[in-house]
This record gives sequence, structure tokens and C-alpha cells, in this order.
Amino acid sequence: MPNLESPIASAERRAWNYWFVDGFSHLVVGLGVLLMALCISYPPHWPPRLVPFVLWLAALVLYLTLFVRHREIVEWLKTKATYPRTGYVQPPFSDDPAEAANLVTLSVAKEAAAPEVEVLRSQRRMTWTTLIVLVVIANVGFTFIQSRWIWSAGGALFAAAMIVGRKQYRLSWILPVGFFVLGACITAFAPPQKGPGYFIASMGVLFAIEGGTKLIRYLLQNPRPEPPPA
Amino acid sequence: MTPDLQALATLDRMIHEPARLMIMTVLYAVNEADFLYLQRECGLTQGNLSSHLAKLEAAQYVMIEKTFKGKYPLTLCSLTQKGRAAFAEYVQKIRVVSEPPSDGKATRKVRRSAS
Repeated sequence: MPNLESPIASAERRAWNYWFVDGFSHLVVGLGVLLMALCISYPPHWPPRLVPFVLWLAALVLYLTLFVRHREIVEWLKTKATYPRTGYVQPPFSDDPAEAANLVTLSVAKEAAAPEVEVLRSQRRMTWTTLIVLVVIANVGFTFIQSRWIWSAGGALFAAAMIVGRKQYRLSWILPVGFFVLGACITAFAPPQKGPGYFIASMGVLFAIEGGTKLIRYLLQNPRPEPPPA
Repeated sequence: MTPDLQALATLDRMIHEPARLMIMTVLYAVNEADFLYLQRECGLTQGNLSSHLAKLEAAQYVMIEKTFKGKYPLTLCSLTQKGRAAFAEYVQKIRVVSEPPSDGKATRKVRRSAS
């Protein structure tokens, strides 16, 4: 089948993919979700004991930092590993580099350089909306339906969301398969009151594995260039 | 010479050269990219890319800025307003050549001659 994509659209798509090529984005999401699971699973009791409370607070602050400063943290990591190896390109979402390029803002970018780029971006917005709707439906189910099987159904919905966003966010099969298995495992083995904590923690682990494997593959494929002789 | 062909004669030669066309295409699609990224995307040697960028900079189509991301030095390239407008015009002219007119006259003519 011939490639019908215009060179401009192709260049934009490659620049978009470049943001996810090293796995840092997924790794940071995974760490953030793990910290969130930690905060949810071990809430402080009154009166608080000093050490557990300080640890809980540190996890909360770190989680909020990872969530709010996602782009800056990923960019900082990229300056250490990615840019010296394969170069820098600004994610094509905005003229203003100060705007956050996290998974959310990358998907709702407004400006377009060319009609074909606008088509790509509208497809991305559609994918993002579908993904969010699936995740929200799963979360509503977790909140209001008191049944063991809701974890299997939710896992399947999360897996479907990962399949929908697979191309756009450069996801491997680890996440869709992982979510499906995770839902089934929580239905079968987890005590009901521990379900949410286990699900969120495992979600973080899945994202971390996804990012970690991508990062290892990227580093192996792109060794750091030798500095020029003095 | 017909007006359609005359339009082809006015193509911007600064952009029309294949290596510079690649560079302009990448920079048109993204806001800014560094030297290494452009080199990998376009498959050009360091010297070749450097000389083409110098020509584009001299024509005020590309802006080159030396900066840092953390401790990593970057040679950032981006299109100027003039370069963006010139590339858009170039693409418009090329599209006229490659695509049939959209009013359907050409299609009707082809159908009549076929019947």
C-alpha cells in the first residue's frame, strides 16, 4: 500500500513520536501513579506519627510535582539522555514553549501549521477524547458498582483505552495485555477493600515497565556519541 | 507560455533545491529543531546541512540560535515568518501542478473525450 501521507504531515508525526521514543514520558507517569497509590493506600491516621506522616507528605508532594511539572521533568531527563544522542525537536503543539507538553496538553493543541497537520491534530483530539471516556466509565464503575467482577470489566476498559491510544502515545502491548490480566487478577485474588490501591499501584508498575523497556531499547540502539578529540 | 506554466517558472529556487526543501519541510512542521535532529531526519552530512542552513539563513528563511538545554548545547533552527510564508507559497504552487482543479471542469473534459 503506497504511503499517502504528505511530507509535512509525516515530519509533524515523526516529531510527535519523538517525544515518546525514549520512554521517559511513560516512566514519569508510572512513577507518579505509584506515588498516588502509596498516598491512597496509606493515609495518615490521627494523631499522626511523625515518620509515617513525613513519608506520606513527601510522597504526596512528589506525586503533585510529577503531575504538574510532567513536561519539565521529562525535558530535563531528555537533556541527559536523548538530546545528546538523537537531537532535539520541540513537540509540535504550540509556539509557546512555556505551555506544558504533558499527555494532556499534547492532545488538545490548537494551532496548526498546515491543513494536513490540522487533520492529524483533530485525529489526536478524537483519540484522546475516546481514551478519556473509556477511563472515566471504568472509574465510575469502580466507584458505584460493588462487585468483584467490576475489576475485570474495568481492566478490560483500561485495556481498550490503551489499544485506542496505542499508536498515538507509542504504547507497546505491555499496557493493554497488562491491564486485562490485572483486572482478572484483582477479581480473583485481591480482598475487596484493597482493590483500588492494588489496581492503581499495578497501573503505575505497568507504565514504569513500559517506559523502562522503551528506555533500555532506546539506549541500546543509540549509544552516546564519542566527544570529539581535543 | 500559458499562465499555469508561468507560475512554475516563479518557484522559489532557494527552497526548490532538494536538501533545502527537506530542511524547510521539517522546520515547517515543527516549531524548532536542533542541528542533530535535522541531520538525522534529512540524512545529510554535517557539512552539507551546515552549508544549506547558512544559505537559508542568508535568505532570512531560517533563524539559527545557539543555546543550552540544561548543560547540553543546542543549535536551534526555526523558520522565520518570511521563510514560513515563502514555503507556504511554494507548496501552493507545487499543489497546483500536482492536483487537478477542483471545479470539475477538467473531469468533465476527460469524461467527454473518453465517451
